[in-house]
Amino acid sequence: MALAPGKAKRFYDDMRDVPLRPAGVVATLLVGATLVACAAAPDARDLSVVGEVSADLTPAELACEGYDSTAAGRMAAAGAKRDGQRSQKRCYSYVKKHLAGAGYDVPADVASGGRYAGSAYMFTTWARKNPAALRRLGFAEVKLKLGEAPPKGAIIVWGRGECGYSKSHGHIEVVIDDGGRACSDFCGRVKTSRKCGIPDVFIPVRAGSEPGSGCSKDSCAGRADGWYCSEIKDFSAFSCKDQNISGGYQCATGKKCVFSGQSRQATLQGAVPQCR
Amino acid sequence: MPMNQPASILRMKRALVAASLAAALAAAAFACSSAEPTGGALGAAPAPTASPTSTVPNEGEPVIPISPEEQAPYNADEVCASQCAVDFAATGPAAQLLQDLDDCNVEQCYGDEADDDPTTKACAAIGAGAGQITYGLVERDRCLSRSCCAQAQACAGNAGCSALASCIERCQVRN
Repeated sequence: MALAPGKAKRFYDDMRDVPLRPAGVVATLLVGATLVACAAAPDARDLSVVGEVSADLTPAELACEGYDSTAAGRMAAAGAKRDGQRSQKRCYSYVKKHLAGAGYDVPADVASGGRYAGSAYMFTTWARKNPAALRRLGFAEVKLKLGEAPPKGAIIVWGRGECGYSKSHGHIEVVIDDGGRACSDFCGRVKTSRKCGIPDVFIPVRAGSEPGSGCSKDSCAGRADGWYCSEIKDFSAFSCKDQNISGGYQCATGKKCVFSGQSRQATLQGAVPQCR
Repeated sequence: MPMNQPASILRMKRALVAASLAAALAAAAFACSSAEPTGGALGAAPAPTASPTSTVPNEGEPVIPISPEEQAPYNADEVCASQCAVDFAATGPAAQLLQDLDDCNVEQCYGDEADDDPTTKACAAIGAGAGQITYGLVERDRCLSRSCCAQAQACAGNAGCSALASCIERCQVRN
């Protein structure tokens, strides 16, 4: 996961002969002129192997982005109040209600009557155009990888016509659990089929946190209690307790700390990290 | 738009429309216009226009479309759909007919139970063929055939709405 303005591209297997996919968009703002160039190029990626959501973001990854689990809980609780309701064609309006219900001040541009208030897809445009305002609101955009679930409390945005949603307005919703369900004016599964691609994702972040500020190496932020191999020195390990470093360990000369997974959780030999 | 047109024809049409847009937009040139000439049973599509205007309200909010130029630096994935709105009239009957179909989609097909309902019902206006409308997902098209066929027929029978719908769908295919 990383802070990113873009999102994964997708296409349908049966449309590969359509040569109109833009490989990218280059926008150069000139005085009084805008040039948008879209190159048509075949997309070599094959998403056919992509299945349903199979992995969540790790706590360390979320902590790296400044994820605020408390605020996320408030967002989720606000959204979950709509559980059991039918869609009323008011997804964006209700997501703003969820924001307000969770204690956020909805920005004027997004609030009723604002420039970006009318259609769900506009939230993404507003957020990317106004990153400082997004941060002040208490959110940050993250880019999910295929197979990653959006975290609890996140606002997710689907573009116009994306994933079967409205061709006129797109769709927006708030994730109410660990990636499985989301609510706007109604609640439902987060759509993750390979034909849906990846939505734009905005996670609640701690007030005053800077992008990537929680990404310092060998940090216990967001980590469960236990031993972790150092990212800085491969012969070192550190232990975490209550998200604070509580101890250290060094392997014998010439040996390296053994770990598993992205979290770098150390493999233990007895009560200490294994070295090999 | 018929999705089975040869690539060379698609390229040619794209180039022609891109040229007309470039002239109309003056300072802005779009090398990947999503404009989509149509023909066949549905007749000619409305002429592209370069002036985004207000469209039908949504959620009680007036919707002022975001232009492709404004989208480009911030939300590249939506540039194409914005261009569709420019090309195929963000106002008027076409947009209203698509909005009606979208509204039905939202009301009838967004829920999990609609996705899980395997019931099928024939609806000539729904599908991926020429002159048909698709939302790109099997379960969604199945629901639209069951519950929104009248709205789909109304849109498919209107050249502008049909073109707008398929234009936006092709944006998803391309993205």
